[in-house]
Amino acid sequence: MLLFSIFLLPLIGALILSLIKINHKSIYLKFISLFFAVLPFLLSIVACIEFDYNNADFQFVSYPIKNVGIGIDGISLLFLLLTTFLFVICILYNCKMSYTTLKAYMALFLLLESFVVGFFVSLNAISFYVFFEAVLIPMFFIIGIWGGKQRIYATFKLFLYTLTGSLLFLLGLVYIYSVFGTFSIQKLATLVPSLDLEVQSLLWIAFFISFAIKVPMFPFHTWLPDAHVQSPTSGSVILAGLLIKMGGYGFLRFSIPMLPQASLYFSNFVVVLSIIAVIYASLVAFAQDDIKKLIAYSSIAHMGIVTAGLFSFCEEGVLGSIFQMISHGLISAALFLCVGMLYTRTGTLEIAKYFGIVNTMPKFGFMFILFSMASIGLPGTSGFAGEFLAMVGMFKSIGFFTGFIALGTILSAAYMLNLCKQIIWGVSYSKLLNNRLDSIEFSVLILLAVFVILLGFYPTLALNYLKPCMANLLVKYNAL
Amino acid sequence: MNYIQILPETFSIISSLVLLLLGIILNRRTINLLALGCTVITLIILIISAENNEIFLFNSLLKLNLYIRSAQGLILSTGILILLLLNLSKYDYKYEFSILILFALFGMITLVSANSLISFYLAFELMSISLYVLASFNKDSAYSCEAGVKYFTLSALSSCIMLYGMSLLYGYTGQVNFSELSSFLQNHQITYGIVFGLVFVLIGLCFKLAIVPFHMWAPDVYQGAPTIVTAFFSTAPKAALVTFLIRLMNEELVNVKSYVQPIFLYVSALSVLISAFGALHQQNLKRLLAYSSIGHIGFIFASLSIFTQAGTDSALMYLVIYIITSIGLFSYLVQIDDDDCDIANLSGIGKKHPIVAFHLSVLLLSMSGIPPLAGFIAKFSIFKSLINSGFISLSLILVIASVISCYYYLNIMKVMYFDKASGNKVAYPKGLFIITSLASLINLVLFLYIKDLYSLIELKG
Repeated sequence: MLLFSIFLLPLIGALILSLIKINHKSIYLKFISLFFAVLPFLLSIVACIEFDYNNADFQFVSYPIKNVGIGIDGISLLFLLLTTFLFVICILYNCKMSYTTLKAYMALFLLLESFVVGFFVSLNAISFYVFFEAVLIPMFFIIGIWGGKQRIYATFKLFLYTLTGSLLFLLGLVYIYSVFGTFSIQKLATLVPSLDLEVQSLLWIAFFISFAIKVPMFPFHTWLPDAHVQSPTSGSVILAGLLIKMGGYGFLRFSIPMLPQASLYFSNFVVVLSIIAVIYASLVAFAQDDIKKLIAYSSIAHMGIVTAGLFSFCEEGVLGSIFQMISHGLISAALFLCVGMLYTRTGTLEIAKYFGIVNTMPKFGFMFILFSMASIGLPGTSGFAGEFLAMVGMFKSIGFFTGFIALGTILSAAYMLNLCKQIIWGVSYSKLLNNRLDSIEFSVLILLAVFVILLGFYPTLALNYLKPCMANLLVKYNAL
Repeated sequence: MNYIQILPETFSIISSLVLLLLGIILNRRTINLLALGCTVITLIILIISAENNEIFLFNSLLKLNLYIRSAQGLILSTGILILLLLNLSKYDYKYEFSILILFALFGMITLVSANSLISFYLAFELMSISLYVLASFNKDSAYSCEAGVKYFTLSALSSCIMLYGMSLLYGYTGQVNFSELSSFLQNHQITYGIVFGLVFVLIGLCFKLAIVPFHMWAPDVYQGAPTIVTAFFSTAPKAALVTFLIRLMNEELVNVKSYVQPIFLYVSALSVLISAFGALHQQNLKRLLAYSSIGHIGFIFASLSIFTQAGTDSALMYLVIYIITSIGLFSYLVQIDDDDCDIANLSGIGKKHPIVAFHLSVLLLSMSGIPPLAGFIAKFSIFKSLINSGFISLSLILVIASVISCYYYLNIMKVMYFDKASGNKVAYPKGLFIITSLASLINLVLFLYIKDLYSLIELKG
């Protein structure tokens, strides 16, 4: 019931918002939306406390509809926490917005929250698929209505790209169902590995295309920069923080446990694509003159490390990848919020237009530097632990080639430091930027910073929950 | 005696003839209302008199069983919805309009129960001729006249082909009755003449269903015909012909599957692709819906082509959901002028009428098959039955087509929500609004009953 109420509360909030008549300036509007975002977060903390982290099985399992189960294990618990937390941040930040259509904006975010929560707690492949695709509907409107100049192109691209992939995923699921007669993810994880390599490979390709588009991996990444640049700030936060994690989560729930032989067969292919992604995206990020685009490309590079770690099939690699997804969720959310704060002040995202921000906005400068360092993976921030573990895992599986991934992290230091140099440092400063962070903006960033640093010093906080699941996940690989 | 057993049909035709006479003295609105009432009564009689046993009437010209009765119920309910749209809309056509709809409905309910080539052809022509007149009913509009003429000439040609096919069938088998035809085909070798005859009959059916490569008339006729007629075209005849085709293939001509299956497969693959690409750049909503209906019938054909119980069940489910969704969309369109159904007309309703826009986008998303809406459930069950029978490549084609077709549905939503509002404001009658919202609510909540739907399907399959 706990999980179901976490799923239902934002949905109820969205319904209430869409039914009542309320002025967009009204404090009650903000109060209601915040209430329905904070309550799920508190409930997911309750879930976190009551969770037995020595147990690798799914917990809190219940069946709201017959045969459609929900439940969480350590992996989904972390994603659930990240989801509810980021939505609190987003709704809080949205309270600053002065849209006349704020009510619809808030309602769409609550709807999106409900879908994302539903995705991470699904134990049934069909509900998993339904939420995987349903998140596109609110996202389509969020980008299409409140986005930038090229928003329509961007939102269509996002929608159609992801739809193509997910329909292939659907075909794969239907095929699995026609063989085994069940949609339960737990049962499938034990049944599907019995398929022979040829069938597994075809299924793997169908799943891979769909998840790789969502992640996004190298040849399928082109929707991401467009979507990010055109999306409103909170939309970017959710896109980078959660939606692209859905692809990684899909690998963890479907490709890796269900198709071990095919995953092993294709692992080099994935690693090569990841290496290309890391290096190529980092180089492209270096050449950007738009801050948001730069951070979008850096997301692609960081997700490249995640996929390479996942397909190393050893405990450290997978742990590191999951940790990296969580940490990247926080860091990229923070960076996109920072960018959004700049944009609301000046209306431009061109790097060349900014210089010496630290002189007028010292708190902002501090925060931006902090999150940039976290993004580079400086020890003491959450970015470090994830990258480090992932690379340890990669060393075990691909050995020497990890060097290419490491090269990517050096490049990431290069473009992030360069960005900081250009916009934060400098003596002279632009007159445009003389209003400091207000309380909402500051508290949003502080909240994120606390978690980034906390996870940096105590990565075990998260790793404790993940470790028991690893044995289950990788048991088939140890045998192969 | 036989006339008692076909009481719904008898009542339907007598009431339409009486209404035709009454039309001279009563005003148009009353006739429309009476037509609606008569159809409702026909449906009620049908539901009361439906029996489970199979009976043959009039020297086996007609056959009645529960499936046929339910198909007739579906057609009549569609007809009732169309007549409801007519009553609620602002249009004031001549009184023959609703009576022609009644005649067409009578043709359709006889069509699905036809058990011989003769009765089938008569019912088919009764339906078609009423539809020709309906298509050109706006005789002051050039588009409508074009639609009528085009529909009539092409349709007459396809009827000729069908009649020729029937004569071939008769010539090679000596039978006109479906049951006897079926037993003849089982006991004798199937010659080329029979195959040709069968294919020609199928061509006639496919033409009326607007399946590629017999789809050319559809966009023009859909665009030119009065909007209510377009709504009628895209629902009731499709229901009648698809249910008839299912009956023909699964109950009557069981052993010609191997000849028909490749035709169905290619035709469905072509239809979904052509409809997806054809609709991409349409600016007129009715034209666009014409292409989209080609695609939807293509989906239905895909699941018919596997000739399993699961396939026909998912085809029927798809048909019902498609009809509900189309009626919902058309109930918004009927309040726009007949010749002015540009997509641009919808611009800005996201801001002006957010609730209407919400319902419309639910319907559009459902048509494009986005979960958790009903259209997704329908497409999903088709994929399931296709993959269960091993038609992976056809399901891949369907996937590609649905992604492409998603684009033009999204495009309509783009106009509704993202474009600047156009100046002309349209009055939207409450009754029509209720139909739209009911259709969208059905689409929204259907997934809650997904388990029941599946158990329903699995029980039968």
